[in-house]
Amino acid sequence: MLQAALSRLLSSLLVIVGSLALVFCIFYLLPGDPVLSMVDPTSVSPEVIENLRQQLGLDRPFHERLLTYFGDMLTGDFGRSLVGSDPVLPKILAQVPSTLLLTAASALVAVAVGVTLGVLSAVRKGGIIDLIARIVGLFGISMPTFWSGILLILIFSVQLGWLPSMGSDGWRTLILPALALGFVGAGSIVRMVRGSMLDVLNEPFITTLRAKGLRERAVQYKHALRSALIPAVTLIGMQIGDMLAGTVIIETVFSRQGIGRILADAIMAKDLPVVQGIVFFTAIVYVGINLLVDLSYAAIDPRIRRKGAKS
Amino acid sequence: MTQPLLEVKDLTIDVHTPRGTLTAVSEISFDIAPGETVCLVGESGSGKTIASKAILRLTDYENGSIAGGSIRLGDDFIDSLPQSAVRGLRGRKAAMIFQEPMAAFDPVFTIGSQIVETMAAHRRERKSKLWAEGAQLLRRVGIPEPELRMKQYPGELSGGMLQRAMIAMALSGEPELLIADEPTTALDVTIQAQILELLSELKQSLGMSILLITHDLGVAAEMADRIVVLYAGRIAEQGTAAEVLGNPRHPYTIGLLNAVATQEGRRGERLRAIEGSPPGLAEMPDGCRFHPRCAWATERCRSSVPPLSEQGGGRFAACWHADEVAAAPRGGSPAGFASAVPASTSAGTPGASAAPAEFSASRPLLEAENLAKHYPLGGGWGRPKRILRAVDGVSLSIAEGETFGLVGESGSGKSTLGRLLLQLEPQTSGEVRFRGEALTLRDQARWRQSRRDLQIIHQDPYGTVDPRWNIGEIIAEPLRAHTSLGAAERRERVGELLEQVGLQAAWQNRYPHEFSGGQRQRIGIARAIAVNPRFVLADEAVSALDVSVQAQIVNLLQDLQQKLGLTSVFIAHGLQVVRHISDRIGVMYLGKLMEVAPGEELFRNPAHPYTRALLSSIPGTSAANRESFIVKGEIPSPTNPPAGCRFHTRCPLATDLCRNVEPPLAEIGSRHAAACHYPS
Repeated sequence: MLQAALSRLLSSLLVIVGSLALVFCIFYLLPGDPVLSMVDPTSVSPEVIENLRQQLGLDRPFHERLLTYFGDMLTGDFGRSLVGSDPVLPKILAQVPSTLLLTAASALVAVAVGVTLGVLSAVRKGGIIDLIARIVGLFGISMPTFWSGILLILIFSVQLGWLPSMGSDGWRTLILPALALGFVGAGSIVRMVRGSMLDVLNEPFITTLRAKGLRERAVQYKHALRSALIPAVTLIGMQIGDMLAGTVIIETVFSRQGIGRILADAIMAKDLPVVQGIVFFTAIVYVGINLLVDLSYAAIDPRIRRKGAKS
Repeated sequence: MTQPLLEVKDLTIDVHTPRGTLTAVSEISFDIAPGETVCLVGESGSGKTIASKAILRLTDYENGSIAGGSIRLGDDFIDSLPQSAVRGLRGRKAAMIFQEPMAAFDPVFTIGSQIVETMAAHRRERKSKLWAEGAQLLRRVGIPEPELRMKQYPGELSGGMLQRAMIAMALSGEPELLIADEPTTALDVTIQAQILELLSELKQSLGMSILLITHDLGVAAEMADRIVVLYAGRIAEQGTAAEVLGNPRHPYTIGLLNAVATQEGRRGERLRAIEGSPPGLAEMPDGCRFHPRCAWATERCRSSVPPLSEQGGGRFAACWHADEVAAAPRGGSPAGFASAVPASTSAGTPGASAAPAEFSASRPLLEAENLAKHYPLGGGWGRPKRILRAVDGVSLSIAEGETFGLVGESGSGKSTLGRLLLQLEPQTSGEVRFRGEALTLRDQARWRQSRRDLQIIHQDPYGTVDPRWNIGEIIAEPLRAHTSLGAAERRERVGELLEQVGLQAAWQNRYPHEFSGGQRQRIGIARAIAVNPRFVLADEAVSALDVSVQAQIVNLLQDLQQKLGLTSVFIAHGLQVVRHISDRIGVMYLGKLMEVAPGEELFRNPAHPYTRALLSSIPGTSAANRESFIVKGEIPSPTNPPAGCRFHTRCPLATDLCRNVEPPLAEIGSRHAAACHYPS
């Protein structure tokens, strides 16, 4: 068990380091000069620019910059923003709660809507709920978030005036962006849960359960649902990751505070330290979600639990 | 006579499919008295499973509905009760057990919780009390360490143990009727014997009625008080077991009985197969549904349905010609009844092989020396690697023209040995020689060359063809790989092959799904013999087929073997079939050969206790014979085979010598070898 945990930890670390290295490489290969986006080349002399470049270490060779970067990371130095020259870490940390809150709320919407509709539509296949579920599934996976976001604003803010269209203060501002973002995840989750629930309901053991005289509710919700959730959990994990990524767009659409917003700004400004700080943070969350997925696997499926305990 | 416990009257069941409503079962009637065992016997598509499910109205969940007739169970008419009321009867009045114990338990709940849940569905009691009762039930059905098993998950128990647990779960509601749907089909013969014994014993002591659904006449012969033979959704015949099996009055029953390779039958003789295959639900013939396959069929059979009529003495048969059929000498039938394979009926007299040829004189075609295959399991991160010894030191030599049968329970390594002989995977140690020269995967050029001579017929005829290819392409592929025939010549050759296996040359453009299971197996055979191989491995080639179809394929294989002079290894768990087709038989257990002998000799004078156990496990074997030799327990894991003789843990004759010293495979008679310290 300890070995399994250790190997998990090691591979998680590898994911974080790998994603940082990847972002670093992409920025290195990207055309354009970050210094030129910091200063106006028409008003500043070339010496100043060159100076600035040296100061930032941009003139040094690739491997040197990469190693320095990881070295700094290890000592907790995330660098300073190239734009406002304020330290990266506090800048990101200030935005984290808002984004995490949005992601969590979206995940809640996605899971609640997705699993409930998926299960109900499988149990009442061919009925009205099944129809709704299939529509949600279709729209969820085919509608981009910015579009559904704008639609929601149009309907609930502009037309009905029920909810604010922007800002990040209070729970009321959370509802629309969470719905827009959660809807996408709900789409895939509905389809997956419906399909796997239908598969499980066709398993021979379901016949056994009925032949024992169990109530249909117990057959469906105690037994079938548990097996059906096993493949769905993987998807849910991936969906939460996607939603975290989706905050970049949604926070912009709804003008919310959050790391999605500053990430969008930082990319525009080629502000490498900020981007890398956010990537670092995102990678950690991602790895954490995957760990949770694995844990919930073990909770649902004893076969995995027993294997882990034996090895 | 007391009132029957179950009375099924004129039951008709419809199945609703996207393509329309089909009738799965038509107007069947039978009843079961308290304490009686009735067997529903039938092949695939006979409606036996759906009829058994209808008794508890489980058909409602599978797009089925009762379209006519009635089902009375005790005082209740199941057909007219609401679902909620039927639910209360399930598990309490009648309980069910199923074919695949592995699939019949919910894999994510413990055995104990599933048993307790069953009890809790019908009575209010404290959980701890129910749990203790559950453990008691597990002990009752012969499961060792019941308290531990209660806490285990289905995946942690063997198939035999799970079926016992399933029976325990069924018993938990103290049902008056136990419906057992093919309860032993997925199990090994020795385990099957144990489960059947358990069922008989429970029936005796609890006075339960049993409705046993099976395709195996041997099982029916052993268990049934009365037998109901189903064909294509109708009852063909019913009566007491002795009457139906001893004096059948329906041509289908006779056909089924003839199609089974029996201990009494002569080796090499053709089995009397029934032509064709059972019809699908959507294509039921008019009149008597058996008429297209029946030798007695007349105009009347083709146009009108024979009623199930009383034949005297509680016997019923649905045949216009029942009297003639019953009067005809047993096994005797009008001309043409046995001509299952038109293309090969003219094959030479099989008598030639009835006396076992002396193969030892001719040179060996395929030899194995100390062949072993070990699969490493798990390991990594410093954990100890375990080794699964699938095949563990097997030497054998197969002569040109010989048919070598391999039998053994699952896990004995017979399929792995087969694949090693063909070098479909590399051995861990030892050597395979083809015509005296070493054959190895490492010598790719020669290996590829050898594929022309060494071919295989698989168990699952559908899983081993590409469903998107037509059968012409499928059969032509080995020709493309190994010959320089042009497209037109290939088509011609494929046509020849199709006719040789009893299909039509014009069917080349059809796709696999358009064929029945038996026909697909013929396609597999045509592919295997396309390049005129010297050797064919038939790995459970008839195991997945219906009995009546099985006989056709066995006949076909025998004919082809004689005509083409093939050498073959025939792997199967059906002992009778192996005996029927093989010159010599090897008995495998945990990766080793336990006994090798000519088929007749092996069946008449089994020397190894394991062989004796296997033989006495064959259902239908007389009870006296059997009690002497039912082996206990199950085959141990090949990752940790017992020391000494590998069979000692289950052997009733085992001594200290057996526990410590492994007996070598030694000659004990002419061409008869056994690996036992105390061969009988």
